[in-house]
Amino acid sequence: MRSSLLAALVLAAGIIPAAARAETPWLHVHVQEQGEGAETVRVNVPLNLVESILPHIHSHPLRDGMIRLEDVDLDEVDLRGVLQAVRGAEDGVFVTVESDDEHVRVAKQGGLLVVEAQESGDGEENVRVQVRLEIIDALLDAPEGQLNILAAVKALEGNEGDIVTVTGDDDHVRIWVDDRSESGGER
Amino acid sequence: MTRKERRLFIVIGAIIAVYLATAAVVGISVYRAGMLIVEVDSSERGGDSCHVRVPAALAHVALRFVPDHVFAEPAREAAEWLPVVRAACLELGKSPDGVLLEVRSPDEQISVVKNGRRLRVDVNNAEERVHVVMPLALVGQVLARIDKVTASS
Repeated sequence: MRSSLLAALVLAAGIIPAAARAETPWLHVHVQEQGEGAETVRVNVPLNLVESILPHIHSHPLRDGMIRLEDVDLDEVDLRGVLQAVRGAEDGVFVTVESDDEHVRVAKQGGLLVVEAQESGDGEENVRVQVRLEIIDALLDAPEGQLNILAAVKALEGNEGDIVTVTGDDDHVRIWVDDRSESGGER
Repeated sequence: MTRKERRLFIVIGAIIAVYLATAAVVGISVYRAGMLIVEVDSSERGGDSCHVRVPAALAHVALRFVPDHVFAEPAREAAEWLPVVRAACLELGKSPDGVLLEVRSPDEQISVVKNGRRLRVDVNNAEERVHVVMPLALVGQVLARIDKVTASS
């Protein structure tokens, strides 16, 4: 009797925290500067919180959870068009830029859009952005000229993992989603 | 013991029980509402310190006596962001505990932590140390009051 009670307690102790964790994914942003006077910034926000406040933000260029691309400086790049083109394309490398001090690669692989940029020389920096295609679908679920940020945040819920990593001489930035409330699990 | 004395004891017992139950309910309410804590300590020599520790339940009551015009200006200035704060408070109340923001540098440390139904903000820098514990329900009540002032103006 005592052992079955103990087993039940152990099971409950395992299940309850796991269930609590599973129902709340967190968005983490970690910025670690290097050098003298370096600053470390950690932001940990439950995705539910982001979802609940986004529809209430009516500040340029965000409105009703959607971003108006005409209000964003994108250097004439049709971001929505690019995302649509990527979504419809087969897996492969779309863009490769090779120069003495820069290497850029944009590819679609294994359900991910991956953008990698490596800068060498002064201020060496490596940038990697990886976005699941479901999130691109969610972004495109908006009227022409807009991107649906709210839907993209909702789509993040089932997509744990890194979204952006930047490693440079001066700083290290990581944005990711997981089920932990604190960004203790640095990779 | 006579019948009259027994009745008297029952009445006295009932009064004590009601009194204790009321005290217990008030005590539990005050405990559940938490404390509003604001501590500001200047690091400069001879600098000011301000420490306020008020049971949130008392702050709730005190809020009723603050005149409407005090809320009018903040209501106008923050009108655009009030729905955002309201939604954030509501959702934070349901969210798990955790460190929402942490900034560390040689000059300054800032942290915003959600702990139970409270939000704790700590700022430490060369000039001052700030420690604020704010029950989320109190923020909700301030927002409700601002809504009331906005609606009536």
